[in-house]
Amino acid sequence: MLASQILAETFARAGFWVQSFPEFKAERRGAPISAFLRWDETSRIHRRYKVQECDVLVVVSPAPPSPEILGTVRPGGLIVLNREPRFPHTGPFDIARVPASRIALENDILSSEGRPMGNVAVLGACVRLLVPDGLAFLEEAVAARMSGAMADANVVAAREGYARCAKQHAVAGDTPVELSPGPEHASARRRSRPLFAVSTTDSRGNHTGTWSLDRPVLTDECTACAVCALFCPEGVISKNDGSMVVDYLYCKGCGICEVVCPVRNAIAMEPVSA
Amino acid sequence: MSQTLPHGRVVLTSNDAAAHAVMLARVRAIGCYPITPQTLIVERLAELVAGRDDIEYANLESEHSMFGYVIAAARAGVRTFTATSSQGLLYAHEQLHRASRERVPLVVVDVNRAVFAPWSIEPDLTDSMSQRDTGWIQLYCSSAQEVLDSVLCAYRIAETAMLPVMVCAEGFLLSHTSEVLELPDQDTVDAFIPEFHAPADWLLDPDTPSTFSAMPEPNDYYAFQRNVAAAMDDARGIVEAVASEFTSHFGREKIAALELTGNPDADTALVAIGTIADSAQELVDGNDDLLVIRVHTYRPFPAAELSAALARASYVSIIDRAAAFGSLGPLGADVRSLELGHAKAAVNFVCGLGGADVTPATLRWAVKQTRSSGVQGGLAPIYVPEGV
Ligand code: SF4
Ligand code: SF4
Repeated sequence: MLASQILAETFARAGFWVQSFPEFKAERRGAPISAFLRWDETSRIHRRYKVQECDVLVVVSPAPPSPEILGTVRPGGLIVLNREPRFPHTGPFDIARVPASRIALENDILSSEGRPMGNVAVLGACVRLLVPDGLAFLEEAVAARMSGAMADANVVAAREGYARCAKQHAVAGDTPVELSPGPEHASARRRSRPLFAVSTTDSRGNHTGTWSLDRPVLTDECTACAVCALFCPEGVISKNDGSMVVDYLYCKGCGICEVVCPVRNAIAMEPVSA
Repeated sequence: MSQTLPHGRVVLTSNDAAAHAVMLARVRAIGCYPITPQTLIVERLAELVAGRDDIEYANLESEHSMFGYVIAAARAGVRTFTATSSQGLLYAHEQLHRASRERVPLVVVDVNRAVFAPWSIEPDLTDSMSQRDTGWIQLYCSSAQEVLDSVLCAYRIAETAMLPVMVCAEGFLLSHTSEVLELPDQDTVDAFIPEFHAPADWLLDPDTPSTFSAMPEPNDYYAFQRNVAAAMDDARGIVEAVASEFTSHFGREKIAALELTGNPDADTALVAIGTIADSAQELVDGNDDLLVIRVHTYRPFPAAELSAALARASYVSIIDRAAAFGSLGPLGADVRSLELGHAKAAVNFVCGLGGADVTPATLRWAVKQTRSSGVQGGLAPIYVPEGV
């Protein structure tokens, strides 16, 4: 959300009209979300509805985008990825990569949980591809929305992202991406809607584990004292046959278990790989 | 944190714009209770108020108490602010009636959110529109700029009319959407909003003990209600005058009652409120036979202005983003109460509840239905099917 606001401010400083908005579902604060940006050279933007298809897809998260998300890109569009290795997909769009997480690590731009925050480096790449004269505006926007050492480090990250983004060319063996599903999907869903607002499943179907960026991993040092189970706000740690088990389907990655654990090295938070 | 951009342009969300307007208006007491999607207003205010001892920022235990707090603070002669959404506004419902009948010039931002059940944090206007009979002036916004400008105007309107004003902005579509706007400086605002001087016999003053709102004789009670009705009628002119003064003072147009876009002589008119009316402007491009009417001031209802604007329209589509089960939608019922004898059809549509997307395609569909309906309107609104 902050990234889309900084990009909006960059466009505004470059003289465009902008509109940027996040899409929230039931996530807690800190969970990854989608945000949208419209920009216009000539006039105020009056479109007050959702973005269904996009010209540019920016993936800040280091996890690769799902086929559904890739399918929202219009033919002729652009996809910007926070990624070092090739993205082994192809379609009627351009793909650009920027090693944003690495740039964040190099500049010590870390979240409170110690995760590299590559968002501004990704914005550096976006500005290079969308408003090539706009790097100074991005630097100003970063300075306006952040302060102190954080702002300084992110200005460097913006420049690095600008310098280190590259478009990739399709090669044999890339998997083609399917374009967005047609409106018939929506009508199929409509037909099955119940009369009362009562879910036909219980909330176990809501896998809140998908919100997490990190997950606790227990080691042999664990004494199975179950203190973590007591404090876990989701109640997803249990003792099974004398050892502790975490149900990652519902673990929200808050890290409270790691903090309360009285035993050194018994539990560590590790990034969730996609 | 926001910063001023070149040319006085800033990028702010409507929530931020509201918070800045409140600070610029030199508010002295802020009552808070968090609720999505309004929470960021009071969070931003907490940051802006931090370290200032001339502003009281109070976290209350509920919206009901929060309204009680700002009512009492206002009666002590202090300019106040509070903000809420959805269930919070509904929970404070009885205080809303009290505020207008006690003639308390509150300014409140309602960030519109659908009402329970089932749960939704997405926008629709049912929360504030279902408060339309509580005696509050209601202004519905369609951009962050208008939120900022309307909050500034609201203090002038409220303190002149001695009536509370609710500035309404749809959640997420406005509250969390960053856009470009002009942020005025403090001196310019100070020259527009004078200090709050309440009538002496209305003020709560410990040196002059008095009883407020005790139980009067029926005829007296009735007379007080007539006073509120008269104040509401007078507010039409006040809204108009404040908007035109704002326009000349700030050099930026402030809509008073209605915003008209397109051909004023068109055969087809679309009446809407809030962001839907902003999106509808897209339909006007390249279409000479459409007039889009955006209702900004919903209470007092701008009946005369709407009648004049609709005088030449044969087909009128009225779009509600609020439910009023068992009757026409709120805006639909109000527009249909006008003298529209010349119109061949005036059809009311309900759409966009709980954040359901309302696109130009939705609105084109409504206009087409109206033109082909061949009936004067029907007794119930047409609920636009999902996905249209
Ligand atoms: S990270 Fe949080 S939710 Fe997950 S197991 Fe630990 S305490 Fe529970
Ligand atoms: S608190 Fe630490 S030692 Fe105790 S069960 Fe949990 S992980 Fe193991």
